[in-house]
Amino acid sequence: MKLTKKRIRQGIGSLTYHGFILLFGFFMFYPVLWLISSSFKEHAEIFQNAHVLIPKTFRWENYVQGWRGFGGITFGTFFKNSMIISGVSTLGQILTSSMVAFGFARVKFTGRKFWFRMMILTLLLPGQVLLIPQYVVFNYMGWIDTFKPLIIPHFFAGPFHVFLMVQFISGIPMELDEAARIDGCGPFATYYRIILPNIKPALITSGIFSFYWSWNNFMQALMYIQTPRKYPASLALQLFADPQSVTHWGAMFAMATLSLVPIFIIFITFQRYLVEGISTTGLKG
Amino acid sequence: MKRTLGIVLLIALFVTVFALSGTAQTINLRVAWWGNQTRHDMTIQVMEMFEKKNPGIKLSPEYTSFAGYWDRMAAQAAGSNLADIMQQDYKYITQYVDSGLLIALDRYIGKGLDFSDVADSFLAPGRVYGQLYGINLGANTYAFAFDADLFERTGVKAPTPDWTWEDYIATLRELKKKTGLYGDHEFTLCTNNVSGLEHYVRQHGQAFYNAAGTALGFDEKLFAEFYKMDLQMTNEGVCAPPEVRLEVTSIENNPMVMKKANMASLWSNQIVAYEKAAGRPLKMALWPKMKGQKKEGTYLKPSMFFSITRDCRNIDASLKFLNYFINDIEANKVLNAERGVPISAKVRNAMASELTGAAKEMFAIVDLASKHASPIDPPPPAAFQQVIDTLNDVHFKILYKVLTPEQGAKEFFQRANKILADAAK
Amino acid sequence: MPSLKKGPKRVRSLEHDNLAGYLFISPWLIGFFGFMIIPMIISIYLSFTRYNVLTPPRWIGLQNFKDIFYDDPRFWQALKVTFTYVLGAVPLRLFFALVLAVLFSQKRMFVGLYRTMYYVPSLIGGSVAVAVMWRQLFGVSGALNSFLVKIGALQTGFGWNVHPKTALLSLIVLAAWQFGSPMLIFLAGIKQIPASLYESAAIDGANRVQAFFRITLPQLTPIIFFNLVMQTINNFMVFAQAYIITGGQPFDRTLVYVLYLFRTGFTYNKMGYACALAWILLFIIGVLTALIFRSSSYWVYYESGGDL
Repeated sequence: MKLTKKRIRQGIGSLTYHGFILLFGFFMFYPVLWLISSSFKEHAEIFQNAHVLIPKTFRWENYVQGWRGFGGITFGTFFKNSMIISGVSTLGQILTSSMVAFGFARVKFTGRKFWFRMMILTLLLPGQVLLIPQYVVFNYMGWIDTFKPLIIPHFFAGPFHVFLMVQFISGIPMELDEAARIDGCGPFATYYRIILPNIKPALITSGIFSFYWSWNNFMQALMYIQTPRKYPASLALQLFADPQSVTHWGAMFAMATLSLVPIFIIFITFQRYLVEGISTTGLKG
Repeated sequence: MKRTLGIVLLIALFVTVFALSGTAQTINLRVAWWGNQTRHDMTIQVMEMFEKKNPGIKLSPEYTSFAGYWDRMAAQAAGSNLADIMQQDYKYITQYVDSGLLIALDRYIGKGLDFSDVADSFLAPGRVYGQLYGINLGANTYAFAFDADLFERTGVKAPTPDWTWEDYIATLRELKKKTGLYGDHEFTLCTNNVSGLEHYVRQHGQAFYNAAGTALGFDEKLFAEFYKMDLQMTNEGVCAPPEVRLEVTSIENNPMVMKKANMASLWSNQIVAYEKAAGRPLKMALWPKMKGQKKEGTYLKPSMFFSITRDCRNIDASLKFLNYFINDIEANKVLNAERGVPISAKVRNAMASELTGAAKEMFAIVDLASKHASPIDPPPPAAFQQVIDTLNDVHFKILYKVLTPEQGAKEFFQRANKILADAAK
Repeated sequence: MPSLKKGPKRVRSLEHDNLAGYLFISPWLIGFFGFMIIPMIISIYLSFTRYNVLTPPRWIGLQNFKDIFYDDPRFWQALKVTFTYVLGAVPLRLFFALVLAVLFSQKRMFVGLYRTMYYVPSLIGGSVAVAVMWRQLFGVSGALNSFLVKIGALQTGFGWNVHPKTALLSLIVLAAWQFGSPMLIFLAGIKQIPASLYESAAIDGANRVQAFFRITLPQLTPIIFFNLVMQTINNFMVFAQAYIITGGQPFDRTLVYVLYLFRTGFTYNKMGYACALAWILLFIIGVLTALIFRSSSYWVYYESGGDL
């Protein structure tokens, strides 16, 4: 008897849960559906039947026209460029940021607080005013019109990622480090064997953000890349829009939808590493 | 400067030697412009045609959207790394000339640049301080666009080239009455744009900016008069309320295109885009005249220029390309007057017979405007964008009834004059 | 400091190691000196100049700062708008992010799908698509108005995203809606809480709500702290949404600080002035961030370290 009552209560709870999540989820997800649906609509329909989610006819031509790109350079090239830039910079970002985070969180050294604050400080300056000075510096180094300015800086740890990982590392008990020390681990082994495996959720989160930011980075690509063959997708997407003339909305939305796919896949693949923990607790409501 | 010249000469020498010996050294030129997919495709096609004819020259396109274009060019200028040839705009060219970033082209006319089929009135707007810095890529004028059958359908009297502000207002009211749609969503180009007011100011024989560009150049009361008309039309529902105007951000959601208004103001080369977006045939008419006007308000404006920059690595090859772009008939057939009506009479004549629809309308209105126009005012001072933003700010305060047109005029003059004076310091 | 329980000798050797410390942070240090410090110094220098990017800068001393403080109503307007925005957006974002992260950390059916559903909107972030869509939702003839007219709450359409009274509000709603990033970070934080803590709480007879307040919340404080700091910084620097959707209109009611800075620097070509604006913003956010850091010793619980 008791058991069934509990079951019923659980059933109601779970129904409320799913109902609530789905209802709000629809509002949350509506824009994405809107984007996808618009990518199949005709020019005029995008604006005139704006909140009708199902297009009158599915125009795959939008995808064909969009993919065609500009002057013989297809979106295949742009996506490939984006993949290289985002993939490589994300790897560099995770690797170096976790090292730096370990240094700040677990090693005491002279000037530690000072450098940490300096690092946070660099986050506070609007990047827009650095664009021109950085252009001058990169130009001096001969990096303009290459992927270098978009990739190499990511191999020198990003403040956001370092700060994030520092916070996660500080959630790990110090006893673990000490045990490792007793086993004869130096700082590097402690970092590699103890800390890294324990902050996997942070590494994954960091990786998802890093990839996404790099994927969407428009302003720096605009500044530093000149040759269309080297444009990443984020920059190429803007080339459809011209408020003074025809904007190929259908083609633009089609490519915007496609450009969501890789970040979507990355998220789906890695998000499941962010849940299990609690599931093993056996905590029942 | 001397050294660069020396290097250029040296390279030129090498090129000739190699060309003669048969193993041509290629010259690489960077060409930068803004636009959309159509313009990118057409321009690249013409560049390829040019390369085929000139095997020694290789052109690399660098295209962006308008919004990002000037940010990128500013960075390139800061790094002394400008493209060899850049698309320019009437509003920006003075700043670039003042900064010594462009090369004067006068001495190449007849030596590399063939302008024998180009009327001087087309070249004039590309002159800054009397020197030619920009080659006009197409003539433009502002105009109204409307459905081709609008006036037959509604029985409203169609505009003539000589119609006046009074006629315009009467037409808008009648259209509103007959169709229930806005006559026009704004009162000429008056939202986020100075052109409407400028047109009115010019008709009074005044200029928007004073000759030195250090202050506004017209009477405060003209501002109040003009925006009073706009406000009156808005109050009557003949023009659209501010929230509708604020939402117009592209041609595709222009109220005329979306059949919520009868007319729209535009630049003549935009008619092709408007017609495509509207999906129905459109016609154009000139903006109204003023009773007893001192001069014509209408003018022909270059839609955009090509300029050769200070960082250009091979001027001769650049000139060759520009010459081709302006004078070659096949090239211009590909370009399809998308940048405006070509300036070469020879090209225009060759294209005229093949024109249809919107393109034909565009050629016709530019031709008509040239008969009802006075010369364009000098390019605006560098702070023009700040002035436009201020105008916009004040304009919406008037539409939202925070200010009366008279108060608005006062605020605009105070703020704009301060901006212009500060910028001139 | 739980680590102090061990012998003092060992702790000291663990704590102080200059070589290892600098070795570990060297990637950032090199990057800082290689890519950041020169542009930063240039931008400080430029803030004392008049610089239109096209011609070399001209030294004008403190003139830019004087103009900003004494002679620029738009600067004060931008500050007002930005503070309103931050005060609205940050709490809303953090609240939604935390609540949904807690809901999505449970092992239930479809939870992966749900997380994706709630996260993906943040991916289309500041793109042109969002701008168009936002207008379609909140515009005069948008979806919201059709609904309100239908239920009789409104007679005719209202321009939510452009009206002077509501334009900023619509930007705040947009910000609240994009809570995906802090949610993801909260999720990762919850995942890292040792399961053993919940087990012992269950043995003590704690229910889910009690477990949340006794374990999840305190254990999560370092992450809440992180999100609070980062959201404050990021929302002070909001740019893309305002740039694309409202452009600051109508009459500067949505002119957020960085939008003003960008227009000054790139549209008006007053880069020196923009740099001065940037350093003023740095100072303002710096003070606020320092305050949040100060406060952290009162409410953030660290398992170890935490004295940065």
